[in-house]
Amino acid sequence: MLTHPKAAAEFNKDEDRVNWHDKSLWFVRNKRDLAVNKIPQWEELRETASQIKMKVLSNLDTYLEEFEKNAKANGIQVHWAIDGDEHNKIVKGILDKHNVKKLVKSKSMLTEECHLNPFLEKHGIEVVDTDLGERIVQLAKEPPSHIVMPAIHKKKEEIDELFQRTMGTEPGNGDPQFLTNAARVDLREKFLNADAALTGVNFAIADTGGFVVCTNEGNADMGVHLAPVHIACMGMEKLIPTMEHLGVFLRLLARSATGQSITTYSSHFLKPRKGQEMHLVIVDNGRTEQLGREDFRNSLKCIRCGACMNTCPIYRRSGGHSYGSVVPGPIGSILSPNIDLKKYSTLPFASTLCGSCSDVCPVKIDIHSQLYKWRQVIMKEHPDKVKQVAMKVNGKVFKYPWLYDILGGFARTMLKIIPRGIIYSKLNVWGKQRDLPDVPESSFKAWYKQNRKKNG
Amino acid sequence: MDSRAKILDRIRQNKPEVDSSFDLNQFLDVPFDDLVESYQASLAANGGNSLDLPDKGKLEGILLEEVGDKSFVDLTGIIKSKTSFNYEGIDQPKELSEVKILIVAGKLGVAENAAIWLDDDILHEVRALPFIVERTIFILDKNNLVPTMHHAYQTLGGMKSGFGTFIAGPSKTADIEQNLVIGAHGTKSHLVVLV
Amino acid sequence: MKVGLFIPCYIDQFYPKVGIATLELLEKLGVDVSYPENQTCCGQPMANSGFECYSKDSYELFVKNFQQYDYIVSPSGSCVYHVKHHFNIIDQSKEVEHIRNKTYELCDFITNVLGDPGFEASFPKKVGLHQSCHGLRGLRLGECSERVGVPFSFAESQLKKVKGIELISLTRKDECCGFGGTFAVAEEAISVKMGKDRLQDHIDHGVEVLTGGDMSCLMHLEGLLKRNGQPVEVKHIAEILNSQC
Repeated sequence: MLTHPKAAAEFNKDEDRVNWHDKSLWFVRNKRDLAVNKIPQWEELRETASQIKMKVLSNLDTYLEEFEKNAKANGIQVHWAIDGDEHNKIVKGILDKHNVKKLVKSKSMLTEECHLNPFLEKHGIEVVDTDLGERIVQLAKEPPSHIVMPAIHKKKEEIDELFQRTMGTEPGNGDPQFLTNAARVDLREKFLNADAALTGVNFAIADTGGFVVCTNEGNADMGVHLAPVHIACMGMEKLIPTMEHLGVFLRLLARSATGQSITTYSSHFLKPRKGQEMHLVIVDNGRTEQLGREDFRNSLKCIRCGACMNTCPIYRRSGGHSYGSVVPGPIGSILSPNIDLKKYSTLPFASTLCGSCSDVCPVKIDIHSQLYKWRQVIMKEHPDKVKQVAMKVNGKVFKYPWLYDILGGFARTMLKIIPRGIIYSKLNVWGKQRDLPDVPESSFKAWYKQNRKKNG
Repeated sequence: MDSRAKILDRIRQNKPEVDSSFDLNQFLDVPFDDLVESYQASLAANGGNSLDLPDKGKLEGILLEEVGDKSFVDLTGIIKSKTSFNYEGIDQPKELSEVKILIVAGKLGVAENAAIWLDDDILHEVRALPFIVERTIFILDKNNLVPTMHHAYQTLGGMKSGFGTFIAGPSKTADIEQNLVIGAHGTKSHLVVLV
Repeated sequence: MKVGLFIPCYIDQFYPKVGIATLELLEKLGVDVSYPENQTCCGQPMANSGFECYSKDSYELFVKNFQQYDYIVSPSGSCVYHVKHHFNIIDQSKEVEHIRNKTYELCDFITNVLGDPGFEASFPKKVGLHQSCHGLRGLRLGECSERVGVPFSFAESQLKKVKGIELISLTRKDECCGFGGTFAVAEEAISVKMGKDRLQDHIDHGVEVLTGGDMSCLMHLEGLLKRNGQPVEVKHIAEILNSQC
């Protein structure tokens, strides 16, 4: 089974590539810092967004009912899916009704979660991901490695080679302008001839029944304004109460994600255009379960900005694929155990709990606290037996000061007399690339007894 | 029980009971710099161009020069001496594909991020127009500049038609090794004429 | 005001000089400080590994040892963070609440409880400050680069009082060093890479002595420096603040 430590160790075999990947993401983190520091009320915005999202979670049923009522009144057909399978069947049902053979899709992490693409392709429907990063990984037959920059793990020369192979482009030396243009031309033809367009939902507004889709490329709009059918898929937690709340979230989203003041396009959909059919699929897929977890429900505030990934020193040095989850990085590590505790059991441990993620999160999810709490849950349900024994022993040793003193002294003596070759054997994982500390003459306790302890 | 009922039922069982409080007014009553200058700086940062044109009389001339002999749609009615592409006569939106330039008046502009609001009324419900062309020229009245998104939503006062969008610059992507490329699937260039 | 000195287990065993420096510094500052000898560990290693159930005895022992003091001071941000935040799983008696409120990291204590007094110290070296994460973001011992706010750092303000010291700016001022407790072993490859990158930042900027408020981070960084023969010295901040004139 893929574990994060194994995948990360593999990733770290190519140090140059790790440096490149780390620097690319740190560059985005830096852009984020520059952008947020232009907003004096940035911390107040975060707190407000967090409060709004908490209000939504506390009243999610009534907000969803309000949203559905308003959406339907505006001519949007609303569907509910309990899990990924049902979501996929609903989408296929709509496509079949319209004899859709060609579907264009803008970025939706939800549809990744439901594994929609392979399902539709199995049934003979051509699915084209139109976000450039998603298109790249689609052509490369890989999953996205980042929720906002899906192809951040790919070098431009690799993309050039990929386009030559799959699109028949001329060798372009990895020139980004050339490659983007090639994609523009190729995808334009897809937009113009699509039978239907599918988008995600960045924000759904309860009191209007409308929803917002944000892109820089314009690919969501190019898809939906040309196609006769628009299907929008959303995780049920993407709601906000009223339209004025968008002011808060749209100011936070792009700055957190890429350091831009806003995405190029923030399209607000209320009614289908004349002659078009608009569908909205509301998806649970484990969210109601997470909602019931007192320690972890805050993770549902997430607006999928990816800032936590950009800042995470472990994500930057191991890459999104090493998590093995649809959503990687810090937020992925607190969402995924809810879906499969055993499969994703190494993810909450793929962290030093440095807290940087929590401090960049625009909705103030206490990510690092949740990582700590998931660790307790995981070790209770699927304990690592070796670690369990070691920690139980530690617990006992630390309970008895006399035992701790004796064992401490013993350990120090052993380290002094055992030959270096044995100390730094293969079993000593710490010692692979680091030295152990030098052994002091005495413990602090012994020194204190000698030099400070008052007699009598 | 159908999925809708199941989901709502589960939510009712699992939702937290937490008090939350927030005040959006704190973001409205803030000092701000010169709106035109901020707007222009934001637009430049987004890869767009601006033109400050206090003399409206010169507007048609400038637009005619921009358009040249390319196929264009003018939703503002400013261009009188040339015929714009007849978008009303089309069957399907994809027939708009040959249009190269769109001229449109924005309802308002946001200084902090250069976003301009367009909606179904302004677009005559031809939603594809601002995305399918190569160049968009916005006419924006300086009096319709607001400092932040909070002010924008306050001014808009809700959705007045079935679709609306904030457009803040030309389309772009940095998906290839974080290299910024202007002109992804939407427009390749974006001009705002401030009147 | 009676202060109890809390010396983390690994400082007690491997870095007694840090404990000594802390004690001497507090004594110099006129603090009535003593060291309860029955202390062992704050329980962090077990808890961070997912076994906080095995830490409860350590918590109870800690409370028993320190409840009599007005303040508890420690040269370790991560251990103090653990006491303040994770002692929440035992019964919250008055004593436990007192302990959680009154346990302080060293620089925090000097700045905010002792009233930020002056002191005589001299350390004429180029010093790079490693801002340990649990202290910085956990205890808010300084403003971190992620947040928008007025910059401050208790550690820096104390270091600035030391004669001759030159504090060196880094490219990434508060990135994690990669120690992370059992992470250092469980995710060895990344832990080492993070440490190496941190060190390179210091080396690139000409740092002669690397310091910080957490000996755990410093132990990991020093281990790398020694293995790779890199000419940077490592000293806990208590040692610098306690340096002789």
